[in-house]
Amino acid sequence: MLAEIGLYLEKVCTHLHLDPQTEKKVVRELYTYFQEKMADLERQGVSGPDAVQDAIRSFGSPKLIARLMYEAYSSGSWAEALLSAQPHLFIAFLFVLHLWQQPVPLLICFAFILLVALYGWTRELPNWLYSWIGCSFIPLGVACYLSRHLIVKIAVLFLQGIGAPLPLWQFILPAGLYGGLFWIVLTTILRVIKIDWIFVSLTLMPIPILGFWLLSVDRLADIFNRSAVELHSLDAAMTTVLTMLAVVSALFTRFRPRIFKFAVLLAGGIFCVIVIVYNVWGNINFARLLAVTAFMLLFLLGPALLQTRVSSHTLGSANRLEEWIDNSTVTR
Amino acid sequence: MPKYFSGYDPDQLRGNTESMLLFLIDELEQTYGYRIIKEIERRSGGFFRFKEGTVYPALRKLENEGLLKGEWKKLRGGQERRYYRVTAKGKEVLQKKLAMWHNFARAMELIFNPAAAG
Repeated sequence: MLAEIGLYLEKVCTHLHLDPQTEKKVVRELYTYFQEKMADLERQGVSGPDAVQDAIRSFGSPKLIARLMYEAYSSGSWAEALLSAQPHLFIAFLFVLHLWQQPVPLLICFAFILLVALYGWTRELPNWLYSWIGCSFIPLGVACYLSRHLIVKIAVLFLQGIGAPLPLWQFILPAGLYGGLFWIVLTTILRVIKIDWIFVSLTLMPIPILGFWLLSVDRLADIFNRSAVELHSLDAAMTTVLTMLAVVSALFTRFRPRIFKFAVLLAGGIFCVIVIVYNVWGNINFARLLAVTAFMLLFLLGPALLQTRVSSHTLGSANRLEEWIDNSTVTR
Repeated sequence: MPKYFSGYDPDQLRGNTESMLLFLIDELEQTYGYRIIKEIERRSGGFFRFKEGTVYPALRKLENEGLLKGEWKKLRGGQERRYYRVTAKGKEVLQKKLAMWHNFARAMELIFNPAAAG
């Protein structure tokens, strides 16, 4: 009987998409219903497998209960929505004041974002944290992009034996940067995806958008050699884009249904990329619009494909139920 | 709560779930999910039919809004229950909702039964 209830609760958890601690709290409470209901049914003379089926039927389909529980837990307060928007607004500030090339404001901004991200990472990953985590990847991502010439040099040296021998740091630096970025992003994805793939999409959202900006700035003006006017020609567009990302994060945090969360990510992402592309090319035709939409859709849905491979849920075990229901401690 | 039973519009029940839960928990002072389910069944004479599991997300929402406060209690025999009580904010909201309900019900009654106005 415990196994059947365990299986039912496992099915609820499959559709719950909450962090493990919250999931455990939910299961604890739902299990108390089954304890009470079974006792009630036994008093009425119904016991055994019939009682279990009765209890499960009365309770409701696991998908329905999981969806309602998800909506009850997943909506953040306005304070959390505002917190979620903050990192994008800080970076937007750098663009609106044309400070993104200045080392001191850059350092302060990203050190703060990184500290908050690390603080939240060691806690229970509150809903508002994901945008902070995504923004904390930016400095390392930009450093990797800027060191890409070293990768090319190393590749040419090894493959064709052309070029002067490189100092050791020119091997270590790109290896450290790219290896570090890969490890950090992979660790983050693997942890977050066990909760819900849609949070991975939110976390990684700034990456293609900042990536488009970086490529566009590189195309318009070599970062180290051109005039400030040319380098900052996209700042207004980036301010708009980052403000839109802030709005997307806030709405994502506030909306309850998952389909709304995904819709706001997709619409926001497409809008942001279109703004950058429009500002670089001066127009956006149907083919480019289609390409941008397809790219964002694939990028945002990619984590969904990964989740099925790394899901921590395994069906049907009374042992897992006993693991959830720890009657030796009473916690809130 | 989903459409499982004819005799009333499930949206009517959905729209009054918050009031109903707050009222019952306030009356019972401190109670738990299964007791609430049984109380709804008893007081409504079995009129309201719903999937009993849907009460728990509703309780959670009220707790998130600060209208309820839940705490776990251990019973004899090792069983646990999560007990809920209405907060001060919850009582305020309940009073407002009850007033709105009475005004609404009176207005509808006047429309359906104008003779009662005389």
